[in-house]
Amino acid sequence: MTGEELDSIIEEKGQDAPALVGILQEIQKREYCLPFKTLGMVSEKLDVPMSRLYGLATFYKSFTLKPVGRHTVDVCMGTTCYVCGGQLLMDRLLRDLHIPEGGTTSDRKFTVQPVRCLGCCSIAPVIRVDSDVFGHVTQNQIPKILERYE
Amino acid sequence: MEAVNIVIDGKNIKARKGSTILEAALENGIDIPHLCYHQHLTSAGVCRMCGVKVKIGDRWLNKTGHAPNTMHVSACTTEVGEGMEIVSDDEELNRSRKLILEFLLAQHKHDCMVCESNGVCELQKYIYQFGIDPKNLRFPGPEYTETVDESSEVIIRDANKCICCGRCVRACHEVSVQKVLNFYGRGGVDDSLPKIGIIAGFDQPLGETDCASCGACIQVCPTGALTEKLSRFQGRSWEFKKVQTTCPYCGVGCQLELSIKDGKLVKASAVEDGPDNQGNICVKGRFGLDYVHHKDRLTTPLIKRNGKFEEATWDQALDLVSSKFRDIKEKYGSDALAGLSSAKCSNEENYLFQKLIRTCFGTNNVDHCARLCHASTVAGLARAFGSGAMTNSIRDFENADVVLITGSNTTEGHPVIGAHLKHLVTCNGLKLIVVDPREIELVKYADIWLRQKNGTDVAWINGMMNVIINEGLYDKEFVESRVEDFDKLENMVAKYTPQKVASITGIPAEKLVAAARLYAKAESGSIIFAMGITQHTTGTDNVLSLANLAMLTGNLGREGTGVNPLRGQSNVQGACDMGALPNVYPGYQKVDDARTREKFQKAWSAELPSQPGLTVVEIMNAAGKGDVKGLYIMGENPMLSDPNLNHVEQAIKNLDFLVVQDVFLTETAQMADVVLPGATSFEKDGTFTNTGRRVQRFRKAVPLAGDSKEDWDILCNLSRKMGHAIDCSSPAGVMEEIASLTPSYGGVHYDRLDGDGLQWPCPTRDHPGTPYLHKDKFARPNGKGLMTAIEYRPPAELPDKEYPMVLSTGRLLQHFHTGSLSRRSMALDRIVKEGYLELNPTDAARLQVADSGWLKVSSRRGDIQVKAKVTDRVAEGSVFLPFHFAEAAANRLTNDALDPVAKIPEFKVSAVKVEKA
Repeated sequence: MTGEELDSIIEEKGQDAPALVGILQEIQKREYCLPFKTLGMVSEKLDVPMSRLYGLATFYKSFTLKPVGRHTVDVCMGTTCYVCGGQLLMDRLLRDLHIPEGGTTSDRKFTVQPVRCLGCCSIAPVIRVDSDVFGHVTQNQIPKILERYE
Repeated sequence: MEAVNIVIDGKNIKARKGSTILEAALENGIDIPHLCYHQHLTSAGVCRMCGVKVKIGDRWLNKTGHAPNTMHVSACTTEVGEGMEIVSDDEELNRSRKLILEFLLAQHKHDCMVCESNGVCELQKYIYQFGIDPKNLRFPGPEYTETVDESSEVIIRDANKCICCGRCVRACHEVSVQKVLNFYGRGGVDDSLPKIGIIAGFDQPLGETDCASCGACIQVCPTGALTEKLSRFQGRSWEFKKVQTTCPYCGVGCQLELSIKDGKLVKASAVEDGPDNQGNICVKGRFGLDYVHHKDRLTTPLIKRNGKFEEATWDQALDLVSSKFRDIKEKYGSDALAGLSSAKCSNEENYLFQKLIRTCFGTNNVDHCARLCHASTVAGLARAFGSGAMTNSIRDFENADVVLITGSNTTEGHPVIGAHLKHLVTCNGLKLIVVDPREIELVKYADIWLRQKNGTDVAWINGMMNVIINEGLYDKEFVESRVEDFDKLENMVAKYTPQKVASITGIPAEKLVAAARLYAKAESGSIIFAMGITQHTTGTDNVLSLANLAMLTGNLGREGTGVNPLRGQSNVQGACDMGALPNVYPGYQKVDDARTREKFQKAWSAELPSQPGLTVVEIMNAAGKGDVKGLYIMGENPMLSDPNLNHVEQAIKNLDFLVVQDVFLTETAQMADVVLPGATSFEKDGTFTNTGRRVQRFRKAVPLAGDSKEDWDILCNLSRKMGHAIDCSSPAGVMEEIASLTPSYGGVHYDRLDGDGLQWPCPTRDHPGTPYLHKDKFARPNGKGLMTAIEYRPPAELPDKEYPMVLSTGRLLQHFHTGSLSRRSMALDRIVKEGYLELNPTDAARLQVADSGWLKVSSRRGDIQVKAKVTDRVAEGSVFLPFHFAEAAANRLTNDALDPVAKIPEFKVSAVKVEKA
């Protein structure tokens, strides 16, 4: 990310402390992770110590330090989803995409990770791709769901 | 003190209002177990060890209001309230504490056998107290996989011993305000995220971060997770003899606790209730003291024969010294002799030195390096207020709303005050105005930064006063009742409109106006300054102008106000107070006042000269001309510290006889005829007076090196040989003599100095000392402050075609003065090995030089070679050079033009030429 790009993000989100998480989210969205170099610029421009940025980056699940795929597949492993077969969905995803849990496909299209409760137990088991939630998912629906994403 | 009645474990206690339950308990001798609490840090309440049960009336303090079982209140975060009944010690609470300890121990690498914290570890203390068996834990422990971080030159970080209490994080944020350490992984819910811990920077090795190596984190760490690197395996806590002393470096006078084993200084830490440092010290005080055992220490007197030093006995050396000095005195008169005293020696030694020069030599030619740092402060403030020292106390800045700092790179020159100011800005809402040509660290914390051109200080101060008077913001009542000559000032500053000032100083008019308003409107405004103000040919004018500004706004004589010069060396205040100056006796009593002279003649039973003597630079000039033939230097190194070194070198070579008394063979000592080995402040007793006028003890902690002697002892022996014996059996006895002759030290006696020391003026035995001066009246004879109308004068040397750039010199955090001590400290030398020239990127591009490229810097007086440091800390056309390094000696370049009043040279402005080497 260039300094100008970052400047425009900061201009949009604001300079004060509460805006910081929003700025990091925007960086995560554009870069698929929080790169060390970009955070170095954030630290300098906003006068926030690097140690605090690292603390934030490792606090929220939605931030990653290593690049993730263009689409993130969250597999709910909350109690209800787990009982309803969440692990089977996870196994199928990993098998189809040839990646380990938390891994990213070689074409950088998908990252698959387990999450705790997504808060929609009534439609368990649930997976979420980016911000789309899919309920009552069966193993066989998995390829169709993945097809919808570029 | 407002008190609150509470009951802890059945004991009635009057607690300090506003204190927490834990503080109230600790202050009253009840030790509630705690791990994350530390007296100088905010309470976090994360370790839960201090959980207590609290009842008010019949209601228990918790969510339900019923008698608690496990939901305890943390004592470190709960303020005391009237009528609280507190249970801090029962089976249930202790069961919880035991559980917490077991969890902590499960994650803690307990290699107590080789742990540096063995014996002082707080976790170890509680594990023992609660009888927990580390071999038989209820919870499985992890593998210890974290690598030990040894990247820092001074700190070892072992995350396997960290209990995540967060004290180091808070110390790094609140005490040193470096913000290098922080928590990470606090959101960790599964194995894909790192587990909670503490990182430096962006999870970097500590040595690669902005860590200032102050060791505040070591000071507060309850376990062995953070320890000193260089003292590893040098001794265990119970083997140490602990000695409290005063730091030998800068003028803050931090109280240190030394750990001594077998006569060797192993490590140092800060004294938690040191009056001015409050548990904080900088990298020099914590890690830079090992010079005391350096192999270069002088251990025997040396006499130069045929250009070579030969070892000698004390008798041989002192016989030679006394006979030579006596010969010169007989042949050329007393004024052919001179002495340079030392701001590194004690009050007692400075007193004895000036007494020896005045009685045995019979001359007032005695001075010391204060001439080169704050002579203009002493002259200026004495004229304006009647007393030439810091008006308020070091810790008093916390009572100020606005602090104006100019010409002081506080975070490097006086790091503990600098850190305190950063703390006040970030945690207390202090407003800061920084006026400095360089973008120093404090600029980041400033509300307003004015970047003036070097040497234009009178102009911007007059400009601020112009705004304040025009806008009616000045304190009319104060000016009318306590100050003289306001009308003269008013007429003069009328000319200095912000627009005119902008053309002289380069400060934009609107910024100057904003700064003037901020300072003038403050309830309590304080001014801090140091050598950026004083080391000019207009040094005295600069100081007088700041005094004008403070008087105009009524910012004097109260808490949180004042004009506060930060003195550079551990005892530069004391050396001045003791009369190691050519024009005054101890306590600034004038030598040309007949009655004063009579008093001292009687006390010292000697005939004393009536004319003021020569100052440092004048002594060197006189030596160059052959008027001064014999020079006695105690603990100074003019061959690095004085301006225009090439000239100094010629002057010293021209002397008939030079005696240097020091702890190392400094650049100056190498030129001496006789070298006398003195003692460091760790090897003798004495007192230092810090910049806040506080007289504090330093104490003998280790034996003398070889055949060296305490400096006071050498002085007494020499005086005996010179035929006018000065008797002294101990520094304490000398202080009695000082007290009897010096009104401001009249109540200073050794038996009173063991606690917080005493701040002068302290005229009588029962006087408590004076935290701030000029309360109801000024120290001038008529009790009024004097305003002085001062016009701006440009510096002595301005850049021109041949020498187009402006050089200023100054200090680095890690080194001190001429480096004779700090460069012989292993840690400090490893952190910063060599000097550099700060150069603006635009100038660097023009010169086609990259970072670390070699440069040749020359002035009309000399030239040096030095590496470049390309940075926009300096403005275009300006360069900065630290003066600690003999191989790139800044003072080969500096100008020895003097302030006409204070005779201080202009170190801060010299015209130079910079070329690629």
